[in-house]
Amino acid sequence: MAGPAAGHWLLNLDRRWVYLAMMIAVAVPLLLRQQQLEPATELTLNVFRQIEDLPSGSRVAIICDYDGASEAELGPMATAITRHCCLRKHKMVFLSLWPTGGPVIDRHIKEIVIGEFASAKFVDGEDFVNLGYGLGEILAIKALMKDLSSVYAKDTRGRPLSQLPILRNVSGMGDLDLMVDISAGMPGGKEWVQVGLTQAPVPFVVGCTGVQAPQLYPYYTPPRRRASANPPPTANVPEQQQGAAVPPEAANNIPPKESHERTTGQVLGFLAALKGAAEYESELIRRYPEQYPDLKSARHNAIRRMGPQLWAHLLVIGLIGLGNVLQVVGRRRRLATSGVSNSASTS
Amino acid sequence: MSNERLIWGGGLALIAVLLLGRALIDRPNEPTWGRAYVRPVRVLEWTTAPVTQPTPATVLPLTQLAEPTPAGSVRAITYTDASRLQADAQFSWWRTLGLWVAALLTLCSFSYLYRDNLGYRLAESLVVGVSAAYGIITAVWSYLVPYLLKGLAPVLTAQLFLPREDLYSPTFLKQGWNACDWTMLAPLFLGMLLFSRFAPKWTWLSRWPVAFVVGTYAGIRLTMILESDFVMQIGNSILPLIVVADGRIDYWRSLTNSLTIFGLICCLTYFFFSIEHKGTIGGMARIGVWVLMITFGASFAYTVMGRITLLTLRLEFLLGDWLGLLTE
Repeated sequence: MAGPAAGHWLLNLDRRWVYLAMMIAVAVPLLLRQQQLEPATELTLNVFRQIEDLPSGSRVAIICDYDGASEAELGPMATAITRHCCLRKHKMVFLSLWPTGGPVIDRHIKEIVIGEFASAKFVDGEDFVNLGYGLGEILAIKALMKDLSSVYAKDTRGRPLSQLPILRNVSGMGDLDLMVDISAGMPGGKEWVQVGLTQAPVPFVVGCTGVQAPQLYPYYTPPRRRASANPPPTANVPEQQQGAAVPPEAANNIPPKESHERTTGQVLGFLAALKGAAEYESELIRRYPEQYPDLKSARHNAIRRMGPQLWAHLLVIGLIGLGNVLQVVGRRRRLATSGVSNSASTS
Repeated sequence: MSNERLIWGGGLALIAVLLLGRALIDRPNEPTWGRAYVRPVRVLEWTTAPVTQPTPATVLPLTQLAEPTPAGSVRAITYTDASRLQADAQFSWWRTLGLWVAALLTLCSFSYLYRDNLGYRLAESLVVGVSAAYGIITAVWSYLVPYLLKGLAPVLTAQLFLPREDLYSPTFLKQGWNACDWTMLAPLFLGMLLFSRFAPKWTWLSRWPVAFVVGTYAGIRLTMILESDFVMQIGNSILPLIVVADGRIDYWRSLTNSLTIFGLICCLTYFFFSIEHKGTIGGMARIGVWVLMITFGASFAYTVMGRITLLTLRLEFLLGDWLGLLTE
């Protein structure tokens, strides 16, 4: 049992010890490579299904509204979604309303589309296009929904949009099959809902930082389930959550794809913070075990970063609990001490 | 020994042990630490001929690129990050320098956790300076040059600042080389008014451009927000209390829908001040406060999660990219 001196010492603990403890709580799981698959929530599955259920060759806008400061949370999200689009052979239209979004898009194209999927031989202008930074924030969103060329006269390679096969018969974002916004602030998911979706209804999903997530929850309108709704894909593969390599036979458990129905609303699904990104990566591993047999591959950044999250959160919860216990014990002691002194003075 | 010395000593000793340990176990055929390697790749650029059909843009290792260059296209060599174990990896002095600068600046930023110091102030000043410079350059090249200057003096701007601009493009020729967009004088005038803030006598003039911007934004957003944040939110809140799916009651969704509606009504009650918060109304308002507190708690928890992720990324960089402890 802690004595008065111990209680006093802990209550006056230098906060730098807490910082050091937090650093250790994050560093050790990284060094030990503690990582495991995350079971996907309905929010994440709705994003996954929107991309998975689209017929191959559908046009998907990937909007990277973030910069390097949010790379830790949003980078894995954008990577996983780009990967998924490549796997499904969708046509990708990259753009950003953040000036710092351009380099982010370049990196995803270089690393994923023409790097990891070099064998697929995606053609710039036919299978993907980088429109780069679009000027105008919410005014740009309003204009883009009806007319892409009002914001982007050319793509980042200087080609007029009218000459790009990927944008044939596309006048505005409203003509695309799906919009995915990876957002860290303004303009971001909220502005696309408020300004974009009121201009033209398009299936829309969002990936956002933890700070933004509570602001986007009210816009979440889950697509209505159809009569033959797919069972959750996690149901058949519980052993994969133990961190082992995914057996190829898990692919046989994937339910057949349904014919696609265009569903619109506000936000049909969203990935909230690093957890959402890790769930998405896990879902990709479950659905495409042949492409991603190794859970501990460096490709799965979000899954790798969830190990430190666990221990850091345990530390935070432990410290909150310890602080409260010490406060309660200290208060009781003070009350007891004052009671003794009062009775002594009364007598 | 004082706490200060203990913390400093402990931290430095830990770093020394990590560096020493890494240096001791480093072998020639294994990934190393503190050094950056690159490998050359050949970029097949777009065609130099007038664009009629987009050509593929691929990035391939030099060794895998044996086919001849297509006619009318340009090939260039670039370098990409690589592991030392890769066959064609080359040591890069510049990227190594960048790696060390990034690592030291990260440590400088972390040093503020101990206390304010020169290293932290240096890192902070660099971030502020670089961010401001980036913002100014972006504004000049995204707003002033392509819109304002090009509008007022198209040919001169294209010749001086926009080398990729095709002066013989149909659009340009259609406009006429010297056709100026005189409507650009309006934003120029409004923009100049902002500088009146520097003259105390004329400060009031700067309110006009601000009023223009605020009024435009308010006008544009009002109708849209009414639809997205009011009409559609009401629509989203009209949920069935008993959900029937496949002929059976879905108890979980029925419960969540009921809780959502109950929480919504309680929160609205808390902000309804026309009736005194007593009795049932008072109870509902109190539950509304609890719902709000839970929301704020969730919001704070998400923020904490985000901050831990930032720390994770920095440690990944220090332990992996710099010290090479996180190699596959």
